[in-house]
Order: sequence, then C-alpha cells, then structure tokens
Amino acid sequence: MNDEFDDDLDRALFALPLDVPPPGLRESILRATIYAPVAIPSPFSTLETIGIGIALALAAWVAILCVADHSVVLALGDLVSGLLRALSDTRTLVWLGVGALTAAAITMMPASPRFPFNRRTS
Amino acid sequence: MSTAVPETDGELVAATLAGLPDAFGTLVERYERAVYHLCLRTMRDAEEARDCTQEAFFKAFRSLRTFKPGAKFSTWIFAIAYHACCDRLAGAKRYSRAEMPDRADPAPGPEAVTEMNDDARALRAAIDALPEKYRTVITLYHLQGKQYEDIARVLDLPMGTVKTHLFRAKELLRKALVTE
Repeated sequence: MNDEFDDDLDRALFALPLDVPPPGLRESILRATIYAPVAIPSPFSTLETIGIGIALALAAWVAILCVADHSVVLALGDLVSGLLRALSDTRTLVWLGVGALTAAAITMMPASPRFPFNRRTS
Repeated sequence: MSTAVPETDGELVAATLAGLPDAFGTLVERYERAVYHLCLRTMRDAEEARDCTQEAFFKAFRSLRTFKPGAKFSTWIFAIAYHACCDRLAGAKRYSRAEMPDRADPAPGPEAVTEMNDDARALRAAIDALPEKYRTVITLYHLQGKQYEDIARVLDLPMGTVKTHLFRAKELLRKALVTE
C-alpha cells in the first residue's frame, strides 16, 4: 500500500514543474561573473606605490621651488658640489669602504651564535 | 576543421578555466532554474531565493578551480546554493520573530497557476508545510532523483540520515495529502 503510494508520490514529485526564476536573474548572474569588469593588477605593491608617490611629490616640490626661486638652484648646486667634493676625498672613501665592509661582515655572521652553555657532560 | 564544442558540465568548467567565459554562461543557463527552485523551496521567499541563487553562481565562478574534474557540477552548485541559504537563514534567526521577514510563499504567477493542476498545487503546498530539513531533502530528491549519495553530499549529511529524512518527509506528505 505504502509502496504504491510511494510510487504515486514519486511520480507526482518528479512531475512537479520547477519554479520559474524572476526575469533578469540570469543577466544579473552573468554581469556579476563573466561580464564583471576585470581589475587591472598593479605592477607595484602598496608600499612601492606610496614610495613612488612620495618621491614624485618631492621631485615636483623641488622643481617648483627651483622655478619660483633662483637662489634654491644655487643652494642645491652648492649642496651637490659639496657632496661631490666630499666623495672625491680619499679619507671619506676609506671610511665609506670600512663601513661597507663592516656591514658585509655583520650580515655574514650566523644569526644566533651557539654557546656551549646547555651542553651537559656526564 | 572545427573545434569541439564543450557539452558536458565538466567540459564547460574546463572551457571556462581555459578562458572561454561563455561556457560558464551555458552552465548558468543549464542550472539557473534548478538552483533557484532549491533556494526558493529552502528560503520560501522570492527575493531571498534570488539573492541566494546569484550568490551561489558567483561563489561557484570564483572557486571554479576547486571543482574536482569528474565530480557532478549539479551536486557542487546545489551544495553551494544550499550553504548560501543556510547562512542567510542563520543570519535571519538572529532577529526576533517580529523582525523576521515575511516568509509566506510567493503567489505563483498566472502562467504557473494555469500550468499546475490541483494535485500539483496540493503537493507543493504540502512540501512547503514540511519542516526545513525535510523540505530540503524532498526538494533535492525532486531535483536529483534517487541519487541519495549526491543528496548526502549536498547536505553534508550521512546517507542513512538522508534516507531517514526522506522517509519521514514522504510520510508527512502522505498524511498531508490523504487528509486533504
């Protein structure tokens, strides 16, 4: 009896029409998926972008200053020539070399030197 | 010389991943109605069902790479849709009963009314009156046939539980239809 009813019920169930989706549903799905605008990936990371932005802003600021006030150009020229003079000095170059070598030596040192403090002897 | 047109669901998924987005359009066309039906039967709210259907396809598209070749796309998309419904139902439960949206079954359109005979209407009403867990099982049974394993996979339930739920759902339907 139940089996017969089950068969009838199954037939009725499988004959039930599916609900009709509201109009525009498919279009909205496609708009959100395959037709969604693709974001163009930036070749720079966020920090790099910020750094580039700051450098460009500084360059623009210096350029504006140079155009507005000629004395700034002279001051900048003095600064650059002073730097070049310092770099052409042998003592400065020696100290720079010592600094670079020290930095290189520190980076080559093991991060955590091992000490035989915990070694137990029987 | 003609290139093979993807036909099976697996081929359509592969084609979408290979850069042919229209293949996904075919999948949407193929399963939109069934997914909407599952969402509507689970949510009993046309607007929520629409949102769940959209969310299901969006999630499926985003995670298409995780679809295992050889698996059934229908089972996969039904599982995503069912979980989207569960999330919404769980969210709705946070509100008090007074704040709950009206979950009355949307009135069928004039076409649907003429299409459905009295028996079908009675059966649909009986299904809608079932508790949620039985309603979902019977809806998936309607959509997937006697593929108990697939139903179990969608609902993330043991097969024995699915069979028990189905048995009880049918029993409740039988009682509801006999008393009418």
